[in-house]
Amino acid sequence: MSGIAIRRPYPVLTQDDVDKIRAAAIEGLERIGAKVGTAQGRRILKKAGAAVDERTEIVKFPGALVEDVLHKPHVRVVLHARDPSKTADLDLHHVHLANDGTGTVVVDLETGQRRDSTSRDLADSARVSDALENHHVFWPLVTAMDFPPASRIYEDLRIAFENTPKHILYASGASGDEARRLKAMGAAVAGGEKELRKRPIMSSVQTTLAPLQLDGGMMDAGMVFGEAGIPIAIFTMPTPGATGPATLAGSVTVAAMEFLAGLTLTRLANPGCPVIWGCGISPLDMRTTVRAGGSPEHGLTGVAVTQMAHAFGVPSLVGGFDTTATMPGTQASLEKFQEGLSVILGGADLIVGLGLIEDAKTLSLEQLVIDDEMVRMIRRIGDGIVVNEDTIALDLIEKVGVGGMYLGQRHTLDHLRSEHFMPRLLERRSHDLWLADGAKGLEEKARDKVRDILAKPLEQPLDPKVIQQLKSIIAGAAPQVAAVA
Amino acid sequence: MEDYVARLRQAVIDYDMEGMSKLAQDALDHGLDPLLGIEKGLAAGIREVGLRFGKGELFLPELVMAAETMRAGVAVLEPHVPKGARDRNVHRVVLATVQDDIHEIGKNLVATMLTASGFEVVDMGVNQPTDVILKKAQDVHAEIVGVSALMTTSMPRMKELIKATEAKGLRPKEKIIVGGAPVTDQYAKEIGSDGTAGDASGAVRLAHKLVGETG
Repeated sequence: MSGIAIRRPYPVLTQDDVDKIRAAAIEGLERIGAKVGTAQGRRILKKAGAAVDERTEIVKFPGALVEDVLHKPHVRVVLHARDPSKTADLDLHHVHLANDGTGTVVVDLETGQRRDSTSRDLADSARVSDALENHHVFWPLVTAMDFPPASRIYEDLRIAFENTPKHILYASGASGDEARRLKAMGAAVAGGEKELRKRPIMSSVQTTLAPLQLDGGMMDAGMVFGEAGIPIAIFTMPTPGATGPATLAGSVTVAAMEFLAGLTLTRLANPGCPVIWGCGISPLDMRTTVRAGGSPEHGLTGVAVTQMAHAFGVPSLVGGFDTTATMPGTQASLEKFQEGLSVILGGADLIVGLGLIEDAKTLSLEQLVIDDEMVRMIRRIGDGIVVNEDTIALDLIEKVGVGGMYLGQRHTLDHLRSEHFMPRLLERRSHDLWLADGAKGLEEKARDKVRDILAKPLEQPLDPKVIQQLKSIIAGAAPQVAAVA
Repeated sequence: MEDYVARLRQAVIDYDMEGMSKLAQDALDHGLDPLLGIEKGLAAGIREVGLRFGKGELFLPELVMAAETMRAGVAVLEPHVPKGARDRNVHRVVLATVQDDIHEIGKNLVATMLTASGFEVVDMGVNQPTDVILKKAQDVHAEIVGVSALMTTSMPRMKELIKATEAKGLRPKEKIIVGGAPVTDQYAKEIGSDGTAGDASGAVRLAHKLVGETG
């Protein structure tokens, strides 16, 4: 499935800015370094020439080592899908959209009440996502709170595989053991480990801890995925003013240091592993102490990080449709729209956030559908204005003449659908017609659409034998799961 | 003959403006009953397009092109309809912008949409005095008169038209609808009109209602 092409990506950094941040990040890794929590990782880095302090676990990266990694041939990131026609190729020239995870709350579609998320909600959200026009990669939006805590991470992946044929971006591999079991589940669906390596239908998000810490379990899991050919997103998220400098350039530099540390380790451990730079830089709201996911700075830094990522030869994964609002509505849409506008026009490779509100905590299926309409609008802006003889249409202007009408011209018909955005949800009828049709608000129309989608049978269901295999793998984790639970 | 009826209908659905005149002429040459061609062919085609427009599958330019395609066909077929059968069952609407007002984009859209929905529209243009509008409505046996004003200064002309129609004893048989950006539901009621609509689709719905059809 092709992503969205942006005719003229809108940059927020100059080439000089990019060069300065790149140089600062490399110098910073040499002078300050980063804490690397994985013993295996420290061994690999030490062997490559890094200065390792085993007591503090701080690793200082020689500039030449990082430069060497950056100068190696780039690894193309292709997010394969169970249905090959839905594969997302992060070729650095197309924008792709994904959900976000992992929420624990749902605004119930029928009652409007907030409640804990269930496996049914996760399944529904996968199916609704799959039906959207501009949705490319599924990130399980909520966790199945109806399962015991320790088995949830496996059940969530199973439910996702069962309910969408798209690529699944997953953010739950927090140790090597977990990663191995999740990988086995991916292999069961892909048709074996070899197939999974050839066509990785899942990828994993490995978060770092700001400032400047690579968590041991996260990176161990990353190495297990990397060894299996599963793409990983090293997700950096300094909070300006709290876990990063208040200045956006400073926080982007901290994020770049964390990413380059993770990239260096991953490339040394598994040179062929496809790596994405995930990043979400939202300031701390200094009045409420909340991380302001729907802030303008989040989208702005998402574009800066995309520019930096492309300079490093890797695709970006950034927040784009986040909101701090706790219910769907005007604030949610305002925050999502401005942030989405920034990162889509900025040409981010993979943008997350569709369907969640309350800083990625709460699922709203109607918001998911509204978010898609936003993407459709922004996509139109990104497509820009095509200027050529046919679009200038001087001959037509002559034909219609002074005081004439363009409505009945074939030129109008031929260009209408590509030139004009046509709303699916936004109301453009006059007040009287809208009133006569039940006076439904945007959210209500979005709920109707969700009901329509869910009323249809599941397309491309998973083979029951594969589902059984997945359940066996999960059952195999039972003693471990029980012990943790 | 059935074949020609179907082809006329399809040509409207395909907006085949360029090929319509020849097709209609061929149909006549092969002995097609022109009234059948209009009603079961062209009009059926435009109804289909109108239906798809109503569902949101097609857009205004498509509706307009289909209407113009139909008009090209009617121009060829209608002169051959025998005298007695001439009075086709159509609803006529007279449209005008009132005196002292020269704005007509909205009125033109209403004319286009009404035509595309099967009404026969007599569009008088802009700056039309009340007595001229009334005379035209009587001459063409219009069931509905639609007047439009964009300026608050010319709006009173609408009330003037309604009063004049009442004075002649033509109300309530002759329906008068009003429109234009400053016209509200309340104003339309106050001056005793038969209604208004906020956009051209609404105007079509209103017109259908006034002639006793469901739009």
